[in-house]
Amino acid sequence: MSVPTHNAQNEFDILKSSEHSEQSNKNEQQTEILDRVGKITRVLHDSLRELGFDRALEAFCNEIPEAQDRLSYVSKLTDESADIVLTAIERGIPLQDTLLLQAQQAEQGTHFFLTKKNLDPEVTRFAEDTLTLSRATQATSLETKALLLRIMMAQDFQDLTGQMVQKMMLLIEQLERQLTQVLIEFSTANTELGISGQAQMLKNLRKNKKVKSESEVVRTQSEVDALLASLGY
Amino acid sequence: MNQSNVLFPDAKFLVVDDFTSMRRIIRTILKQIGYLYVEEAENGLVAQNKLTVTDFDFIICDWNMPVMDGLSLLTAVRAKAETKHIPVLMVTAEAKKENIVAAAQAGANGYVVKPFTSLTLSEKVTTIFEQKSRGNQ
Repeated sequence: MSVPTHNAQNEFDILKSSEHSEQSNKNEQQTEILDRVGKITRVLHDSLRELGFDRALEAFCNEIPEAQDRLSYVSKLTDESADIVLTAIERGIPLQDTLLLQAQQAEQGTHFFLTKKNLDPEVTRFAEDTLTLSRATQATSLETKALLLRIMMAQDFQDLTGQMVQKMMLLIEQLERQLTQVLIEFSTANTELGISGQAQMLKNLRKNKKVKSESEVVRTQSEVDALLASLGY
Repeated sequence: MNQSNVLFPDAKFLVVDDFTSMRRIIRTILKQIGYLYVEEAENGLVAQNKLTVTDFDFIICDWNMPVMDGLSLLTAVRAKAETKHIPVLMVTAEAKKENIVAAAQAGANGYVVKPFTSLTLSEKVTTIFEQKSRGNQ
């Protein structure tokens, strides 16, 4: 019984030794990969600095809030436009329904009137004209209602474009966060900043971006007039 | 369409969509079909709360919504004894086959892809009510 136990122990030791050896190889490989990533990072860092890409990145980051604002503005405007159209349609359809009902009643009444005997020919002609008008009104009312419904259905663009805009804004937000982080980590002036310095830089970047996006855009005629008035025009 | 010509004319509808414009469009179409009782919810959670208060007969639901999406609402509706019988029609921009399959597997009664026409929506609603009517017989 001892021999198999001894053999088993040997096999276990060999396996352990093999595992240990594999582990060492893995550790060496990982160290090598980390070294290489470190070197690539250093090259990227130096290249960014030498080529001035840190400044280009900063400029790009400054544009992002403006893009977000514009997308948000598009979303807001389409929402408002759809609201105006839908409100008009919600009021217009019942008006057409009422008109249709009144025209139907007029047709029935006139039709009944024309069944009377000994009507004056002039009155008959007048009643027939009324009948024609009430029928035409019904047809026009139905067609108008159908057109209103088509206009209403076309407002679904707001839902579809709104979803796209939301996705785009989310993507831009993620991109901004990552680029700002890259900017902070690779900026020449910030290599010795430390965590508190980097946080301050991030704060300044955001502040500058906000001021820029708020100050450079006018969106209403009253803002244009106010600006022109302030410039003496 | 006249209200007297539709199946279940007194049916209570719950329209769930995060976009107001879409809820208003669906409400108007339902009104044109002849269904006058329509309530709205902007996401699945609000819809769930409304379902505890009112006995709805039909749910029309979007897929992508904040807080609680349409598939989660559908799953929750089917999991609850009080609501599992309610027909659910998914009306969504999600046209991926896997989503359509997922909705069907979760128990959706119909699936309409945006953009849709008023005729498509009214046909789906009518078909689902007809199926329900046959099931009740």
